[in-house]
Amino acid sequence: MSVLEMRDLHVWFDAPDGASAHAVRGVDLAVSVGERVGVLGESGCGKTTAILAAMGLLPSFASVGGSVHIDGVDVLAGGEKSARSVRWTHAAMIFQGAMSAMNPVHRIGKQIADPMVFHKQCTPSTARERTRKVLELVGLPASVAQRYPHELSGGMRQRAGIAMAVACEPKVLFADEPTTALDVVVQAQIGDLLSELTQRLGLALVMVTHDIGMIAETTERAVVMYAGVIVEDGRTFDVLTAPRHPYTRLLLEATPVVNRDRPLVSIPGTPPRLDEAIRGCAFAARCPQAFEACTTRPTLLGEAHRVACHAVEKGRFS
Amino acid sequence: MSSTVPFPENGSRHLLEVRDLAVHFALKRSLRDRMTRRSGKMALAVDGVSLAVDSGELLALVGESGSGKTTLALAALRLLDPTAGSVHFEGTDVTRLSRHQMRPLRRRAQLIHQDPYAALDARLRIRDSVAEGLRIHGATQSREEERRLVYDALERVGLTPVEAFAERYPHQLSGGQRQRVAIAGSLVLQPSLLVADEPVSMLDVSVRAGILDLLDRLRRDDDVGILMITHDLATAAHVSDRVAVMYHGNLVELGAAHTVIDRPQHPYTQALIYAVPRVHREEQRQRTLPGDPPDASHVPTGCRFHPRCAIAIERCKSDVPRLLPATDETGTTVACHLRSVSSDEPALDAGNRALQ
Repeated sequence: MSVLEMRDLHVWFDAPDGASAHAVRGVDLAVSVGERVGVLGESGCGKTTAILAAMGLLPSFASVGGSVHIDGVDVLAGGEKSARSVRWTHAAMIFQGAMSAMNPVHRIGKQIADPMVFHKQCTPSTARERTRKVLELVGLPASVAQRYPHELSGGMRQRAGIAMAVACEPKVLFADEPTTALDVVVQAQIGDLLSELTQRLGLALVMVTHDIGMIAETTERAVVMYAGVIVEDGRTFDVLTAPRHPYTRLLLEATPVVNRDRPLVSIPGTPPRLDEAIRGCAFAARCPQAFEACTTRPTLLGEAHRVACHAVEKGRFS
Repeated sequence: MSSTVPFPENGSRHLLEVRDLAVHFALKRSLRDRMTRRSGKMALAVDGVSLAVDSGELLALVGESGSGKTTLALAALRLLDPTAGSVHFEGTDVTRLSRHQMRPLRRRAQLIHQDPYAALDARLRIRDSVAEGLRIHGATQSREEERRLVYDALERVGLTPVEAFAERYPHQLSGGQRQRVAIAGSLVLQPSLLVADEPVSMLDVSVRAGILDLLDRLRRDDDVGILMITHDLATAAHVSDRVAVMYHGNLVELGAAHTVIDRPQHPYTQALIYAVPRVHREEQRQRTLPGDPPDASHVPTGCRFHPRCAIAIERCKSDVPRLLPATDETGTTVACHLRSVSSDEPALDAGNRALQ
């Protein structure tokens, strides 16, 4: 059963001058209970926008089309009210900058307890008790509850952010670049914590990142986005070791790895402008495999390992 | 690999040589310290580091945030005054020079910042941003000469057609293009040394390779020495000749890049390498390093890594290890009681060997 279901999700950002950027251009994504999904792509490909839309967290100048169901609740149908009923209790989010995600003038404990009091109608003392439990769950001493965000290191803050996210027992955990602002060693610690915790609590994880290694180690399914659409979707191992879409291949070749047995490549060109209509495949202009058929938009085809590419479909490229 | 340029004035044969460099920052004194007339605490950002960069060489300085790598780089360029130690650049000890005397040397040693969005003035056209250094140093005789040098620099960093790029503003460029502009602004002054502080960490993976290639070409074709600061070992592995690993203000390992990556000696270097996530399951990470990154104001006794080290022995808590040749004869030097040869040999010899 899907605990998260995005159907034909679109997001437009409207500029004051009447122009509009089509940031998410039709995303279909179903995530099962307990499934750990990594969403991969360059900056500006719409990955963060898509998960913010699912949480109802987009700014007022964004318009959203399609539907998002989380744990059976239609998030977009009832405006802010339905989004609020989903947040924390059904779906919670971990942000990139754990510092900016917290209020600097409140103690960590209060910040973790507040959503429980508000959304789960806990009494303040139950919430305090549970705060201690979730802090221990993420590997922090209970005394951290008495501290302010600036007193913690980056890694500890991100742990506190995770504690806050799981406190109300959501079914889905969204993580937006949860390790980007952290050091390598701390990144590994947070990655371990996320995969261990989601498995223990049976949480579905949707992690947005451009860090391929992070996806490899914490997720079981990888989704690659380009210019607002999903271009590839499959088991993490398959996508990373036998990528099918030309974009995924180039992205992997551009990623430095420690055992340097091959030269790095860069992908020529830049992603398309989102404020102009994109005809056909958005990657065609940068794609070494592009041919005539690429002037029409490819659909995501396949069974377990799906890919949206005419060249793959026609067997020109495999 | 690297060619050693003799700089005649004095001892250093290297393009850049840092000896026993220390940079300590005074922290704000607490009220109690002030009332008891005690001196305040010091943050030992860099504490006794020696290393050298040759012309045409790319040395990667690797470490966590707070390890002191950026402080070291700033002191090497004398953008910070070191507390102790010396910095020789092109044979001259720059720590003894006045601001005025520094000026001609500044042109020869350029810094590339991490954030190409913040490094460029949003109101200047690209040609003016690139020409800024030339104007500050009064390096050109005519507008025509300036234009030629700017166009030449833009062409070398691959921003073609140069005429079109020269007229643009930073907001019209992508992150990778902006970083190229920043590099062009350094190149136009024909530096012998580039210090690149996390040059690709803010950029998308798809354009990183282009910037790294560009740095690689500069040292190969123009014999520029490059000190690249990075927290990313994978990036260091791809482009550098040698890797220096910093922890808590000290160098803990220094050696040829492939040796340090393939056969890391110091437990901290090993932890850093194991921490890099792998794509293939069979080579997954082995363990994570416990604990938090170091805090420069709280210096552990003995080996600064001992509180987080899995193999620490009693001695590590009291004796400070020096950078000495590794026991397994990989040619790297390592500051670890358990992994380096007996530290009975005179420190000076070992220090000199570390610089080879």
